Amino acid sequence: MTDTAITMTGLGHAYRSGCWVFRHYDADFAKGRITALLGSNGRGKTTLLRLLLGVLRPTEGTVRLNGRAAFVPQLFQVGFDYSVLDMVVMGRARHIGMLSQPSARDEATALTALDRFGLADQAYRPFHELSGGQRQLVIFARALVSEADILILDEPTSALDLKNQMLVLERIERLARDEGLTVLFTTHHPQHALEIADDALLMMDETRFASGAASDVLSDENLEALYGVTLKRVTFDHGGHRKETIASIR
Amino acid sequence: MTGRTLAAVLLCLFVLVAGTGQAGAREIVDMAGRRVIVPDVIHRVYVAHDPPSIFLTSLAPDLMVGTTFTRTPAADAFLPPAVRRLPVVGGSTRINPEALLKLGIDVAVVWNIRGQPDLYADQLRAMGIPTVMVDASPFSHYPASFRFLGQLLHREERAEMLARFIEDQASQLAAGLREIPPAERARVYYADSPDGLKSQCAGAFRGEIVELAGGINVMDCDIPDGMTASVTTNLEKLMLLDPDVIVARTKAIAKFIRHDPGWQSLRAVRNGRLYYPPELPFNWVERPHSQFKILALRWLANRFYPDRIPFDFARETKAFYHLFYDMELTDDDIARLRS
Amino acid sequence: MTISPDCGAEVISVPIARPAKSEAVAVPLLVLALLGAVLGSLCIGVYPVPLSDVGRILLSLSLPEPLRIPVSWSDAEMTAVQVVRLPRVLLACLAGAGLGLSGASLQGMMRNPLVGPDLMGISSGAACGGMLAILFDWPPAGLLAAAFAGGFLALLSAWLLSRLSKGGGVLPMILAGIVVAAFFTAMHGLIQYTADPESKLPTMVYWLIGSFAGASAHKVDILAPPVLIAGSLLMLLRWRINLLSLGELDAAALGVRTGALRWLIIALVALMVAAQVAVSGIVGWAGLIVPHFARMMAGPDHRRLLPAAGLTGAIFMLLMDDIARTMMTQEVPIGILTAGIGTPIFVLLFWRVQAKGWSHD
Repeated sequence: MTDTAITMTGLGHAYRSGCWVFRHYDADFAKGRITALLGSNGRGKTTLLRLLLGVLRPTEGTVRLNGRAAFVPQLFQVGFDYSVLDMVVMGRARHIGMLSQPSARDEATALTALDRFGLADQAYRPFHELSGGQRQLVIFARALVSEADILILDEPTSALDLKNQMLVLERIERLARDEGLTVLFTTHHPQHALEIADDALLMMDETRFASGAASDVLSDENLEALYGVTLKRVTFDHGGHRKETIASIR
Repeated sequence: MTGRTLAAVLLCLFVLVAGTGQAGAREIVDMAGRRVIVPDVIHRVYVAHDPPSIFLTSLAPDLMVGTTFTRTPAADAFLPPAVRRLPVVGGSTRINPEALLKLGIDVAVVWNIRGQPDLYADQLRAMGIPTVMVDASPFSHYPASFRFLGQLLHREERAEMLARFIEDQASQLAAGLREIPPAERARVYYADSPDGLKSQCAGAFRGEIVELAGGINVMDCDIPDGMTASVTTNLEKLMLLDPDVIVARTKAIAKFIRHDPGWQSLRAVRNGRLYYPPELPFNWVERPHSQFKILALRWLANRFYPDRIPFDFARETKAFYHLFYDMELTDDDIARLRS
Repeated sequence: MTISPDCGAEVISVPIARPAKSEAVAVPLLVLALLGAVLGSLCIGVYPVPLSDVGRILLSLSLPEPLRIPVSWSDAEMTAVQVVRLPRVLLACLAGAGLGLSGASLQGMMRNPLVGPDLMGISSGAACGGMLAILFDWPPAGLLAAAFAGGFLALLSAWLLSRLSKGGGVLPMILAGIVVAAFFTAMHGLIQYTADPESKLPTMVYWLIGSFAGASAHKVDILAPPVLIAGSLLMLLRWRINLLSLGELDAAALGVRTGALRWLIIALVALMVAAQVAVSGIVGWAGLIVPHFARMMAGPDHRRLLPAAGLTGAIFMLLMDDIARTMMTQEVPIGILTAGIGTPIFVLLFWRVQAKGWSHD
C-alpha cells in the first residue's frame, strides 16, 4: 500500500452559508501517481485547488497534504516586468527566511532548473516576452526549485495549441516519473486524462463524485453524467500499438 | 356699541399696531454707502464680527444680544459687568440663520471688510433684518466707525468722546514719531505663526501696527490684502534681513522664538528686542482688531523708541479702561496684563 | 528531487545572456547622486555662505575635538549651515526616503503601480490623528502615536475597501484610497472647525501644509528612528514583496503567509508616513511617482527597487525643497511643488498603465 499524498475527508465548502459548492467529498491520492480532476465549469475545481493549497479553509471536513505542494496556475499575468530568473527564484520562498534574500546558491538552483527545460539562455529576459508555452515551462521550473512533493496544475493545456498540448502532457508525465512527484491537474479534456493520468476524480455535482483508477472512472456513463453529452471511449490501432481516446457523439 | 367707542377701539388698535410695527423708521447711509432703513429706536443689536462687536462693548453693551469673540474666565475679569453677562453667540459663519431670527434683533452690524457687494449682509437683508456695514479696518477709520455707531444707536455723545480720545492719542503719537529721523527708524519683523515664519507684508492691514508704531516692516512684498493673506519666510531670509526688533503676535510665539536655536542667530533675539502684546481680555494687536489697538500702538512705539516715545503702561491702561469701560483696574490687574 | 542546492549546480555550460548592466549599477550611482545632492543643498541658500566655508564648517562638525581646524567663518554663517540648512536637508532626505520606500512597498504589495501613501489616505489619516492629539493637548509622544493610529487605520480601510470590488484592474484601489482620504479630510475639517481659532487651529492648519521650513534638530530626532527602523525592516522584506506581487493565490501556494506579511508591511508604512506627516505636514504625490523613476533605473525586482526608491525619494525631496526655499522670495510650500509636478506625471503613468493592460486576477 503506497502512502497517500493527499487525503480528503468529508470535504465541503460553501462561500455563502447554504450555497454549497460541493459536499461530502472523500478521496485519497496516492504518492507518486498522476491524478486528473474533471468537472464542468462552475463545479468547484478551482475551489478544490484552493482548499488543497491551503489558501481557503474548508467549511466542512478536512484536507490533509502529506508533503508540500507547488502550484502551476492557468494564467501567468504579472503586473511587474520580472526577469525569467527572478520568477524561478521566487519558487525558493519556503527555503528562504522571512527577512533574508535569495543566495547565490538559490540563483544557481534556479538556473539549473531553467536549463532542464532548455530556457537557461532566456534567464535575464523579461518574463512577459516569452511565449505562452515557454512561460508555462518557467513556472514548471519554479515548481521544481520549491522542492515540493506534490505538483498541482490548473488546466495546463488550455492555452496551448495541439502540438504544445502533447508536449506539456509528456513533460508532466516525465516530471512525475523522474522526480517521484504526486501530480494533480485539472482539465477539460478527458482524453488528456486518459493519456497520462493514473487516477481521476470526476466532480459531477454538489455531492456526487467519482474517484479511482482513470481507466475505471472515465467510463462512458460517468463522462456523460459529467458533461451532459454522449461520449464514447474508442480504442484503435496505431503503428502496432493499441490507443485509446474519447470521442463525442452528436 | 356707540360710534365713539368704536372710534376709540380703532384708535387703540391703530396705535398698538403702529407701536409694535415700524414705529418710526429712518433711512441711514452706512459706511459702505448703502441706504438702509432702520428702526428709530433700537433695542437689540447683533454684531456679526469681532471688531465692531468690541467697539459696541464700549459704546452700548446694553443693546447687544451677545458677543461673538472668545470669552474665557480670565478674559471676563477684564470686561465690565454689562458685557460679562452677555451670552456668547456665534459670529457670522457660525450661527444658524434661524437662530438669528429667534434672537429677535432690530439691527445687524456687519464688518465692512470687502466693500460691496457683501453676500453675508445681503443674506441678512433677505431675511428681513436691517443690516448696516461698519468699517473696522484700517485703524484710521476707527473714530469714524464710533461716530457712525453712535449716530445709529443714539449714543452720539459717548461715541464722540471715544472717537475724540482715539484721534487725540493717535495724532499725539504721530507727532512724536515725526521727530524720529529715518536713519533711526526701527526695522521690525512681525511673527504671526507658531513657528514664527508667517508674517504680514508692509502695508497689509493685519500688520499695520508696525507702521503705525513708527517701525519699518522688513517684509517688503506685494500680496493682495485681506483677512487671510500672509507671507511665509525662512530663517536664512530673516538672517539676511536682520531686523532690529521682532514683534510676536502672542506670548507662545515669542517663547518659541526665544528658545529655538535657529532664531538665536538673529540680533533682535540676542539683544532681547522681542516683544509680545498683552492678551487680556483678548489680543491687543489683532485677531481681534479692536479699540485696544490704540493702547498697543503707543506701547509698541515706546518699545521701539524708549528714549523718544514715553508710555506709562499702568497709567495709560487705567485711563483707557476708565474711559472705555468705566472700570477701575488695580495694580494686580496691571501686573497680570504684563505677565 | 534532483534540483537541490547541494549538487554541483554551479556548472552551466549553456551561454546565458547577462543581466542589464544599467540596473546593476543603479543603486551605487544613486548613492553617489544622493551624496552630491546633500552637499549641494548645503551650499544653496538665501544667506550667502562661500562654498569653501561650507566645506570647512562641515569638516569641523564631523571631526573630533583634537583635529579642530581654525575658524574662518562668522557665527551667522555657521548658524546658517549647521542650524538652518543641515536639519532641513536631513529632514528632507529622511522624509523623501520614507515616502519612496512606502510607495514602492505599497505598489508591490497591492500589485498596483498607481498607489501612493497619500493616495491611499495614510497622510490624511495621520493628519487626523495628529489633530486629535493637538485638540486634546496630548504630549509629543501621544501625537506620534495618534498619527500612526490614524495612518494605519486609513491604509487598512483602503485595503479592505478595495477588496470589496470584484473587478480587477487598478481603479478599485485608487477609488478606495480616494474615498478614505476624503473621509479623513472631512474628519480633520470637522476637528479644525471645532478647534479654538486662536490657539489650536493655527497649529493644526500650519501642520497640514507640507513644508520643511520649520526644520530643526529636534524634528530630525523624531523622524529618524521610525524611518530608519521601519525602513530597514522593509528592506529586509524586499524580496518577499516580489512574492506578494504575484497575487494571493500564487504567493500562498509558494508558502508565503500573505496575511501576516501584509499587516506587517502596512504597519511599517503607516509608521514612516505618520512620522513624516507629524514633522512636516502632508507632502503628496512623492510616494507615488518616485517608485516609478526608481523602477526605470533599477528594474522591477524589489531587491533593487526598494533601495533605489529610498535613495531616489531622498534626492527628489531634496531637490524639491531646494527649489521651494530659493525659487522665490516667498517660501513655496513643498506640497504645491510636488502636486504641480506629480499630477501631470500621474496622468502620464495612468495612460501608460492602461496601454500596457495591467491586470490582476
